[in-house]
Parts: sequence; C-alpha cells; structure tokens
Amino acid sequence: MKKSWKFISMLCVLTLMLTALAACGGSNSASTTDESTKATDAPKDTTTVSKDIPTLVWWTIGGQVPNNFSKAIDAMNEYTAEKIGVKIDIKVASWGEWDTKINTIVNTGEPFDIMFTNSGKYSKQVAMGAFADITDLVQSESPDLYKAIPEKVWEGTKIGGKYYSVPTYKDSALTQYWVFDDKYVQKYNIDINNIKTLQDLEKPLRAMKAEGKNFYPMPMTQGDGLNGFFNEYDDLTLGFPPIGVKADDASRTVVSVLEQPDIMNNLKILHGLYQDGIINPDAPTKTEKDKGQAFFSAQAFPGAEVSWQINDAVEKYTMFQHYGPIYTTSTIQGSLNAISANSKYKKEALKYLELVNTDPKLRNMLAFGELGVDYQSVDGEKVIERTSDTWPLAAYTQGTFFDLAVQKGAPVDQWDQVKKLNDAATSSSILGFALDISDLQTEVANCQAVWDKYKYEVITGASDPEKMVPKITAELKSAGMDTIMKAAQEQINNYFK
Amino acid sequence: MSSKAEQKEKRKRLPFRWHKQDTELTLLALPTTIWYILFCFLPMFGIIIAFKNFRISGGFLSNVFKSPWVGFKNFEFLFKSNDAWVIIRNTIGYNIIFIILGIVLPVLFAIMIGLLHSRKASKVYQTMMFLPYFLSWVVVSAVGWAFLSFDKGIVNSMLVNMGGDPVNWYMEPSYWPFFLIFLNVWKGLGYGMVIYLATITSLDSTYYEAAIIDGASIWQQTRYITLPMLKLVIVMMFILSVGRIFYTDFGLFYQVTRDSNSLFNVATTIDVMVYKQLKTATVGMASAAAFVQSVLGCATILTANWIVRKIDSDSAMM
Repeated sequence: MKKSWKFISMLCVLTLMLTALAACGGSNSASTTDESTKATDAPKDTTTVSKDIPTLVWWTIGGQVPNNFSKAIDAMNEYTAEKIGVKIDIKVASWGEWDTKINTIVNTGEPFDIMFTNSGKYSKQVAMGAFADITDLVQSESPDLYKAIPEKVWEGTKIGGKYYSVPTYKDSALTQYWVFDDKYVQKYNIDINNIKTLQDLEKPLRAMKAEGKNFYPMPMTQGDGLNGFFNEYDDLTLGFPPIGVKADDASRTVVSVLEQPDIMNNLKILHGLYQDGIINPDAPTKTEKDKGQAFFSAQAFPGAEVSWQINDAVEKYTMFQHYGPIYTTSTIQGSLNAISANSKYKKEALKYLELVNTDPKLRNMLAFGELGVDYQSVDGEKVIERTSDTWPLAAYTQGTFFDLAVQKGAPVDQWDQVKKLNDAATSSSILGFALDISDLQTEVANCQAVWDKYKYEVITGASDPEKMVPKITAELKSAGMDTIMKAAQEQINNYFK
Repeated sequence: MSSKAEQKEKRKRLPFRWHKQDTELTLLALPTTIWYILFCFLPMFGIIIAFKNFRISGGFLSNVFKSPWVGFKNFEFLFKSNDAWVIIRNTIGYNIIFIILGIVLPVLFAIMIGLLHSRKASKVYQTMMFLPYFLSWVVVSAVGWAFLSFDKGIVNSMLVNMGGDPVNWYMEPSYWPFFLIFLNVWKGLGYGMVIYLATITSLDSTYYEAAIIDGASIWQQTRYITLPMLKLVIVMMFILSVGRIFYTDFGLFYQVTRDSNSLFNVATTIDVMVYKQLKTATVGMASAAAFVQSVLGCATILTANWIVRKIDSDSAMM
C-alpha cells in the first residue's frame, strides 16, 4: 500500500513539473510572436523582411489537388514576388472536410496568414479572437483594395464596428434562380415566364414525372434541400434558419421562421412533391448530387449556367430568376478572406489580397490554374477557355469577379450584368447587423443540435410539416430558442436605434 | 504461501541499490515511457479547456493558458440538451449488448474451432473470421450502402424483383439496432477470438486425456475443463470492455449510418455527439463532453474491478 502511495505521489510531482514546463513553453512562444509582430510593425524592418520574400499560408476550399498544382503556384509566386515581394503557399481543404478542418486549425492555433471563411463561421471566429482587426490597416496599407470594394459590401463584414476580413466582391447580393434542363422545357412546353412561386413549379414538375417511375424531376440531397428555401428571412448571420427576420419587414421583428404561414405553406407543397415521387425518396440520406439534373434551384448570376453545362455534360440549361437580388449581411459574408491575428505578415497579406482584387493576371491564374494547361487565353486577360476541370480552387472564394476573365460561351458583358444586379439589389431591413452570440453559446449549441437532428427531413420535404414543425419548435423552445430570439431582438433594437 | 513471505523478507533485507539489471530494464522501458508521457500524459492537460472560454491569443498553449476560466459553463449544454437521455441510453445500451455478445460469441467460436481436428480448416475459418477486422468503417459503410441504398441497393432490387416495394433503409430506425449489432459482431468476432483461442490451445492436454479416459463427453470436457480455465481471461476482457462503456466506435455509429437524421434516436452516441459539437459548437463544449465521458469511464472500470474483487479476488486486475 505504502509503495503505491509513493508511486502516486511521485506521479503527481512529475505531472506538476510537466505542467510548469508546458506553461513556460506557452509564455515563451507567445512572447516571441509578440516580438515578431512588433518587429514587422516597425516601418524600418519591413524593407528587410520583404527582401527575403515572405511566403504566406492561405487556407482555402476546393476539390482534389491536381499534379500540376505546385507548378501553377510557382508561376503565380514568380509573378507576385517580383511585383509586390510576396509569395503564397495555398492549402486546400476539400469541400467535405472544410468545416471541420478550419475549426481545428483555428482552435489549435496552427499558424496561417489568410483564411477563407463565411457567414455562420465568421462571427464565431472573430469572437474567439482568431482574426486580425484590419479596420485601419486596410485603408493605410492597401487603399486600392479599399476603393475597389463598395462601402455597402465593406459594411456587411463589420463586427462591432470593425473590419476583420476582406469581402469577396462578386454577386454579393443574392439572386436565386430556377434551372431546368432545356430538354424538358421543350418536351413539356414549360412556360418559364409564368413561374414565380413554388406553387407555379408544381404543374411542370408533375408533368415531368411522366418520364417514368424512377425519374425524379426535382432531385435533392440532404445538405441542400431546395437551395434558397429560407431566402426571404435574414438569418442574422447565425447560419440557423429557424430564427430570422423577414428581409422586407420594416419593424425588424425576430420570428420563428418555421412557423410563418408562407414557409409553412411552402413546406406543405414540398411534402406533397415528396409524397408523389417528384422528389427522390432517399433525398434526406443522399449525400452526393447526381451529375446533370432535370431541375434544380441555385444562387447564381448571368452566365453561371455555362460552367454548369461543362461540369454536368448537359447540352443546355435554361435558368430564370425568381427571387432577389437582395443584400443581407449573410450574402455579403458568403465569401470572406480573413487575416490571422497571429500572422507576422498582416500588411503583406493585405497587399496580396489587394493584388488579387485588382490585377487580372494574378486573378485568372488563381481562378483557372496554369496557363496553357488548365486554360487557354482567348482574348488577353479578358476571355479564357478552360481546357480541363481539374483546377481545384473555387474562384468565388478568392477575390472579386470584376477583374476575372469571362469564360468562352458566357456573355462577354457577364460581369457588368452581375454589377447591375448588385446595383439593383434591395437591402434586407437589418443589413449590417450580425448577431453577437458570446452570451448565448449554450442556447445556440443546443438549438443547433435540435435543428441538425431534423433539418434533412424538413428541407427535403420528407416529413409532414404539420406534425414536424410543432414538434421541432417545442424542442427548440426547451433548448432555449426564446432566449436567443429575445436577445436578438434587443441587439437589433440597439443597433438600429 | 511461505515462499512468497520468504521472498518478501529477502527483498526487505536487501539494501536499496541500483543494479546493472535495473539500468538495462530502465533503458528497455524508456521508449514506452516517453511515448506514454508524450501521447497519454501531456494531452491530459487539455482537460482544462473544458473549464475555459477558449480564445485565440497565439499558439495553442498560450491559447489554453490565456483563455478566461468559466467554471462549469461548458458542461451546461450537455445536461440542458433534450437528448442527453437518448444519447446516454444509446451509448450504454449498445455497449452492454456488445460486451455480452463480445464475450459469448468469441468464446463459443473459439471453443468450436479449438475442437476441430483439421488444423488446416481451423486456420481457414479463423482467418476468414478475422478479415472483417481489417476493414475500415468507411469501407464497411460503402459496402452497406451498396446493399441498402434506396435506388441502387442490392436488397431493394431483390425486393422489387420479388414483387415487393423498396424500403428506404436509412430512414427506418426500427431496423438499425439489429444492423449495428450485427456489424459490430461481424467485425469484432475474429479479433475477440484470438485471445481465447490462444488460451485454449495452450491448455495442458493431459487434463483432456484424463477426462477422456474417465469417459467425459465433449460437452463435459468443455463445461468442466475449458470454461473454468478460460474464466480468468474472460473476466479480464470483461473488465477491459466495461471500462470503455461510455466510448463507442465512432465509425460504426457515424459512418455506417451516413449521419442520417431519421436514425438519430437509435444511432447517436456520446462520441457522435462530441464530433457534431466540434463541427458547430465551441471546443470547450466538446472537451467538456469528452471529459465527462472519461470520468464516467474511469468510474465504471473501478466499480467493475471492485465487484470482481468481491466475488473472486484472483481475477481482479487492480
């Protein structure tokens, strides 16, 4: 007995010593990073730093990395090293693992300089202190970048009155489209001009069911459901559809979205479509989309169908707008690049993002890959033709569309049309507001868990809304939805006072 | 008895001295010790994350030390959650079934294979039962999908060919407890069997020869020789698995069910929930859940060992 006590006390002493050691290590590493940031802050040192050309780590999202990836990046680096004295090391998280991976990177403090983030994640990450406050830096260090992006879009990225990221200025206002495979439009004489609501869609979709028993005119997957279903409600950047403010509600009332009559009605239509085999029965469990769909819903912009046609090997897609364009805080926060609070090269990172947003040559290399391998230039940096679909990086995450080349086949004035859409966009009544959840984390986590439990079945129409919605709301209420709604209303009232 | 006491006496009389033998043994143990310190003891300090409001302020260590303390706030969500009961029920329920089946079936098969006369056949059977162990759950999940997918699954096309209606397996919670139990048994059987089989083959054959001369049937040999000799191993395996009663195989419950919403009530265990929390909630909350899991696991292993010691002190591990 005595011996084991001795052993245990020994162990305790050992662990204590180790903690002490670990603590030392911690404070050391912190102080060194502090010093180095100070060093780069001093104007004298920047010149010496840029001489040995810093390499920035940029985490972004994309597909499978192709063999020529490093070669294409080298070409980019050669160009930027000469131009602004910065190189880039692009790390790609795949579409499926991005959520988890980015969380891990932020939480473990793995060093990075630039990171792609979006609505729903952004405010949490800022609350954690992961990103640098660039409010002043962006105006002093990269005035061209600041000027290139309209005030309204910058406003949308504000948290607590400060900028923590560079928004991607593109189709920043949301425009929702319905897309048919043109084959069926011709065959069933679908009059796309008279389709405005989900109800109008019912008739053509039901007609298309005539194709066969195993043909599902409105295929869905668990993650998407009917894309854009909750668009009419501003989600307060919470990324949690059951709570929102109707985008055109002047009184800015926070409501329980699922219980709203219009949403309820649409859910009933969706459920009807599901029951009649218009939606595939395995939608709530299906994870991957089939290539080439008879009908789908998408957030898009003029000319977007060109690349879908290439990717899906469909001859022609007919798409038409049915909602928007509208600015909400979430649509603007749909694509952001933030700079790490611990980055040694904050200024260089901003310079790089400035170049991405203002220099068509770099922009095209980033978006399309290696010239001559992944894409061919058709008209300088203005029109290009993609020759392979292997380049993994997602163009929408990197920077503005308005210095990007148009793909062959899309309208040449594509980006002007997108700009027009942005200009014509209405604003959500709570534009600029983002919910601060730092005091609500328990409630938000629990409500999210409840929604995660039911969402796939709700958004694909698999469950009967008349039974499910009351059940979900009851559970959400006991998980603390009322507390969130009350706090949200208070915050909104204060913000717009 | 007397020899043990003698040994003790001897040890007491010896003055404490470092032998050459000790150096050798210490050196031998060094790599393992270092490994344990690095990967088992150091990460334990991560537990404090569960009591902190995690904030970024530099490297990981300074994050941990500079984040403000929040006491038990991170634990709140665990116990405020509506589904805490369902999740704990699933975790413990499945584990109880797995523990029982994980002892009964491997022992049964080990005895059966041990009785086979043909060495070749027993090797073949054993290998075949062992194979599934090497498959990752991701692969099993894909195979399961090939069988149970709604539109392309083998099972459904068989049903349709026989004139039935296809079943949306991934949305029918009632079948899944059986699927999950079956898959777990199928995958773990061969692995569980190895230890029992090794014990059985190493049993002194003279016992059996004596029993056969006395006219014991195979059933009697098993009942009175094999099983009592296996008892120690069985109890040890039992304690080991009880210690993990709050842990479940994440791959089985998350991958194989394809995170289907409809199966929430039958397939969400603590590990699955911790993973989902990591994706959406804060690190603090996820570590709080994992912390509760470890503490409960430690408590159960101690209790199980205590009970075993009460019943049969030789079989206890500690």
